[in-house]
Formats: sequence, C-alpha cells, structure tokens
Amino acid sequence: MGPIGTISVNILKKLFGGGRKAPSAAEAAPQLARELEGVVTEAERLVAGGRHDEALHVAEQGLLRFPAAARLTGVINYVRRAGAKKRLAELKQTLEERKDERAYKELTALHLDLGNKDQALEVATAHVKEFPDAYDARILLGEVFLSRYFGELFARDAWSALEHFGRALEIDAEAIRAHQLQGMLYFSLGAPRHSAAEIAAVLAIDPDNERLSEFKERLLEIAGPEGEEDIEFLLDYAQDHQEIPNNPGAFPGGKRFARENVGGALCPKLFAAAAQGIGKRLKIEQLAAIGINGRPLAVAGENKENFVKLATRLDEASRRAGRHMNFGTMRRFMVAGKFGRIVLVPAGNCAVAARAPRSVSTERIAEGLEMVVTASRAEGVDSHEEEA
Amino acid sequence: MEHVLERLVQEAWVRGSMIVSNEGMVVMDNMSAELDRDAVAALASDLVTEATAGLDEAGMQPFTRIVLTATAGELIVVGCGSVYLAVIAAAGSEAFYIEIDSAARQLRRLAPTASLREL
Repeated sequence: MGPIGTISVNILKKLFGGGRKAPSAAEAAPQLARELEGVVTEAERLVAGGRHDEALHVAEQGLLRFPAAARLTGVINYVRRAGAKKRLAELKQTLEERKDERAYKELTALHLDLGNKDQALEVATAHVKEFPDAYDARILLGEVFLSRYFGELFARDAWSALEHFGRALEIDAEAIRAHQLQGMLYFSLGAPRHSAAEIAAVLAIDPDNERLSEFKERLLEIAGPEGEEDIEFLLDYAQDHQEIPNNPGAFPGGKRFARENVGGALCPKLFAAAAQGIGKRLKIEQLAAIGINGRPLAVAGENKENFVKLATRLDEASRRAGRHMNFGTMRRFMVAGKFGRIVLVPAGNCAVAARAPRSVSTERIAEGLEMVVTASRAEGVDSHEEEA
Repeated sequence: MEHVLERLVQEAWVRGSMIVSNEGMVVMDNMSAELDRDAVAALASDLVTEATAGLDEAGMQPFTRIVLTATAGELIVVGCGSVYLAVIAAAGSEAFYIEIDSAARQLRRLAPTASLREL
C-alpha cells in the first residue's frame, strides 16, 4: 500500500471533506456535483500520470459516496482493463491457436471480473460448444447467466442458468457447485425449501460441510409448507418488481454475486431540492422519478401528472426492450423533438426522467439525473433533513 | 431505398438497419445474421408506439429521434414520413448520428407519404 495509503487519505479528506456537517437539502445537489467533479478530476489526473493503483483507490472510494457515478465506474473499468489487457490478448491468442479448456475458463472469469458480462457469455458459450460434455463448462456458463441475472433480474437469465446447471448435473451428478449455485438462486428468490434441498444434495456428497449444514437448518426454520414455493412466479415477480427478497451475497460462497446496491428510497423533499440545484444548471423543465409500475416517487416542474405518465410509458417500453434484446445493461433512453430532449435513466429500483432543451447533451442530462438520485438518497443529508 | 440502407451498414459502427412501417412491419432491412430482424422491428415499433402515445397525451409534438442505449449497443429510430428508420449500432456511436439523419432525409424524400403497400 505505502504511498497509495498516504496520498489517498489526504486526497480523500480534501475531496470528501471528512467529518464536516451535512449540507442542507437546498445545497446538496450542486455541492455533490462539485464533489463528484473533484473526485473524477483527481482520478483522471492519476490515470493520466500512469498512477493506476491510486486512481483505482480514489475512484473506488468515490463510488462509495456516488454509487451511480458512471464516470467513476469508467475510471475503474479503464484501470482494470489496462491491467488485464495483456492477459486478455494472450488468452485470445491461445484460443485462436487451439481450443484450450483452461484458456476458455480463465478468459470467461477475466471478463466477468472486468464486468464484461456479454463477452463472458460469448466465451463461455463457445466453451460449451467446443466441449459439450464438460460439466464444468456448463457450470461456468450457468454462472455467467446467474451473474447477468443478479444485475438485471430478467427471468430468462435465471432459467438459462438453471438449464445449464441441470445439464452439468446430468453429466456429473456430483457437481456440487451446480447444486450450490442453484441453492443460492432459490435463496435469493425467497424459496428456502428449494434452497435447502440443493444444500441437502451438496451435503449428501460432502456431509462435513458445517457452514452449509447450519445454513440449511436456518432455511428450514423459515420455510413455509411444502409445495408453497413457485419458482416461476417468484422469478416473474422479481422481474416485474425489480427486486429480490434476499441478497445472494448472504448465501455461503455467494459473496461474488452480492447484488449491487440499488439504492434506498428516494426522499421527495431532497429530490425537489436536488432537482432545483441540478435543474437550473441544465435548464431542466420537467423531472420525475418513478417506481416500478409507474408509481410516482417525486416530481418537479410543470404539468406533473402528464410527465409522470409519459415517463412511465418510456420506462416500461425500455424495460421491455431490455428483456427482449441481448443488448447488455440498459443505460438510458432518449426521445428528442421540438419539445427538447427527454432522457430517462434506470436507477436501481426506480427510473428518473427529465426534459431539457436540445442544446443540453444527453450525456449531461443523464449525469445530472444520476446526481439528483444520489442527492435524494444521500444518507447524511437525509438524516440531517429529517431532524430539521 | 435499398442503397440508403446498404450505405449505412458500410459504417463500422452499424450492425444493421431497417425501415419499419407505423404498424411495426419490416418494409426493408439490411441486418447482420446475428440480429433477429423481427425482434428488432417489434422492439422499434413498441418504442415508437409508446413514445408517440406518451408525447401525445402530454400535449407535446411528435419525436424526431429515439435512442435506446445499453452497454452492448444502441437502437436509434428516426421518423421518415410514413415509415421509420431503425439502426442497430455499437454503443457510443453519437458521432455517426449525422449519417443516420442524412439517410433519414433521403428516405423521407423517397417516400414522403407513401403507404406500406406502395413501398
């Protein structure tokens, strides 16, 4: 760590202003925007100077404060990619020369680590095609689908994962990882009895696994009557509501799949203040945050009811598109016309939409919306406001 | 019109382009093999329908462009009179929008108000 620790502590104190009093809601959005700008500038400066480890540290710390900041994620991805670039090239070269199982596995894992889920899927699919009887190739492909599932909660990814785990178990009945991953999926969906059954299958092969054994007992304590769990219903419910009852990270061995923080509830009062701050800078005329099924969470600007209806339509259409197209993770939806530019961004358990003049770029509006969401959920500001 | 679509897919960013009627039917397409043309057409039509209805309800004028951006690609839809031009492109292809707008203008000239049957 050495120099990184020393430099970063100073940089972070300066950037995040450690220990100071939380700002008022009216100050929150512009202040957060300035803070974010400072963190991003510092991270990018470090990248430009070739100080990748420090840049990574600053960006990771920044993401704790600004979880929706795409530019910080960009810095992290850039640094990781730069580090992994050589290995990626080597593995691709190996696979061009020969169909090497180890290279397929490593390349899939590397893509997953880098967050390249689509590329991971491509490589894992090629792996299964080349080695259809390899149970571990099936498990890896199932893992990739599972990883995608916990990102987007599209039922089709979970079904694909289950299909490949099932095939792995047909090839090798003792493929305990397939049982474990199925158990984790069922647990996350709120099907403890199904999950316990998968753990029991692991314990039949490895009876000395105390951790799983204890977990199974806990699951059975909370399980409802037999036959009550309907996986199809649970998957559809999770997809429609964009939430699952349990974080897979709480399942033994599931830490890697811990669901990204999708954010807590938006505070309407903070939303209005943040909207005012960001809105002025970006000339935003209408702004709405909507929950699943079109429930308005917070609205600012004129003609609120109609704008919520419009945002809901756009949100639903873009979610449907995400389910039916293999396009990766949905980032934004933009509609432009004489009315200006309407930009909608998904933000975990809600979506936020804004209308601004066409002179303001989609990128800037999207970034502004991310800031509004961050400010509306900022815990320190939230508690300060609630006390007031 | 075929020439317009062909020209678009020559661009490195573009994976496919198609002309879709207001009813969601594919009038003409130039899609790469890995893309499901019917799925793209249905998706473009759904987005157009929802955006049009939503804007109308909100008392706003019709859209001129729709862009759906995901990590692995973009779907761009531009109105061309009685039909729509839908383009599937790599993510981050904003610099290429000028070509899409130009193609849309050409299509508008070729089929300003023509019905699907006439096309």
